[in-house]
Amino acid sequence: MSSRARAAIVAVAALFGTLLTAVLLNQSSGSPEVSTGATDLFPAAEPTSSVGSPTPGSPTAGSTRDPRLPAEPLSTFSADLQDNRPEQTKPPTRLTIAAVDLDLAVRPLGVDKAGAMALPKTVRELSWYKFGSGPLDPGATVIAGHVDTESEGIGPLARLAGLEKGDRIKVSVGKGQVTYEVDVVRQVSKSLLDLDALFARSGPRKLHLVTCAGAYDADRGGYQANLVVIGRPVD
Amino acid sequence: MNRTARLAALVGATLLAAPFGPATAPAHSAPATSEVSVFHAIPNIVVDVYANGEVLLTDFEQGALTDPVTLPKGEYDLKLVNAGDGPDGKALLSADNFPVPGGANLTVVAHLNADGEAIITPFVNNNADIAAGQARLTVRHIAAAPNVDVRADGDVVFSDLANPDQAEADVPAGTVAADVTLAGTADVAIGPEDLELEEGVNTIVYAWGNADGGELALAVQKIDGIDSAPNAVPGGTGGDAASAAVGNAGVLALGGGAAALLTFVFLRLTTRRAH
Repeated sequence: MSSRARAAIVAVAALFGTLLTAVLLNQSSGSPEVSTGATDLFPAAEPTSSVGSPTPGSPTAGSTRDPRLPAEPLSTFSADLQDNRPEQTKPPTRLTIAAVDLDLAVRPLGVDKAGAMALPKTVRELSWYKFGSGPLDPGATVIAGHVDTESEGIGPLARLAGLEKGDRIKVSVGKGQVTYEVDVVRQVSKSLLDLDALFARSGPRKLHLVTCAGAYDADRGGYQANLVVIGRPVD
Repeated sequence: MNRTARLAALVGATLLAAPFGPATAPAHSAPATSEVSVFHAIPNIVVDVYANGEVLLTDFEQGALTDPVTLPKGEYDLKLVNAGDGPDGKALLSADNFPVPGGANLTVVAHLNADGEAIITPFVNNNADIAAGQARLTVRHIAAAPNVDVRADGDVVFSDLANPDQAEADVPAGTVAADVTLAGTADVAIGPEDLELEEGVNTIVYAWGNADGGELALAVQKIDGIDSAPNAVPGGTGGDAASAAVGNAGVLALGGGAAALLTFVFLRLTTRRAH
């Protein structure tokens, strides 16, 4: 391919990417809950409800408060162990996609010994990344599975590549269900995948359904790409 | 007694001893602020806290913690009085020229030393990123009590911790039964208590109170937003799907261009965390 042709392809790809991004951004919930860790970690002191009420020793009107200090006394809370038990995330238990005849159990798993997302050994089960968001939380619910295994051959997840925009994905959570609409089906080189974005724990609720794809190179760790499906909740 | 001098020495020692230092500080510029929380661990008193003569905290109860606030680096005059006594009230505890460095995450703790005297100790919180699947456990001995060991599920994880020392380790996330024993013995001083070590969170456990009154307890402070993503999604071990004509040939045909596109989308869709 000539360098000119290559440049043209890159230009078209970039344009398409911009459009796609614009579409995706418009279609996301638009809620302002995307936040940086900085503000989450270090919220300003909550203003007290009694603005202007006298506090012990507060300077009289007209005097200047040290601008380095918070404008209001800090709010406090109990640090007792019993008062700070973590909230449990409700795990997804099953994923069904009628469009590609997929119906698989989902198990909560964490990280394998190599630091990668842990997956069930079989192609007939899916893993939910239990340290990330659940379907009812802000952020991305990450569910993944093997497209094939040496012992089982090609599994049902190979059919994910046949998904189209608008197809419905249903995920069971407790006694309820969250329905997603497919936004994007794309193959991404593993070396280029933005894992922080894939596993985002804040921001809009969405589903990231992942398996393997692309060329298989046993000497370079197997599959060289991931197939990523992005689903947007439609409730 | 010159509390200020002692405190200054303590601050210096604590900051120097911290193995992680200002983890969030970019190398090229010294940050001008720090995040500061305050924890009240002196039994049986309710206080107001003043900084530079201005009220910072009112009706501050034992065992209570504040959210972090951003303070410009510099020196602050701190004073604790009985609640309601006002800025000119008798100081229960004070520290003039209390240094706040730039680029750190600190918890300033009012507590008892091993002999039962009230002191102020600043601790540096390690808010460096934690590897996927791991949790950070930080333990601080701030009780009027002798040296202690800290055990998880019966095994000693931190030994011979003195007041006001801290110890920390990154461990697999999960729940452990934690207890505190007198150093080198199996005499349990606190616990055991179930302790949930959440993934990607620095769980800071304080052993506080007064052994004399039998008033020892555990308190926790959590620093989150420092989690990391897994380093990959494996996704196939056979290789069959690569050679077979599976699914949507169109997707595969997009090849590298599509890969670049999706990466772009992923980058644009999210705000990267800033620590």
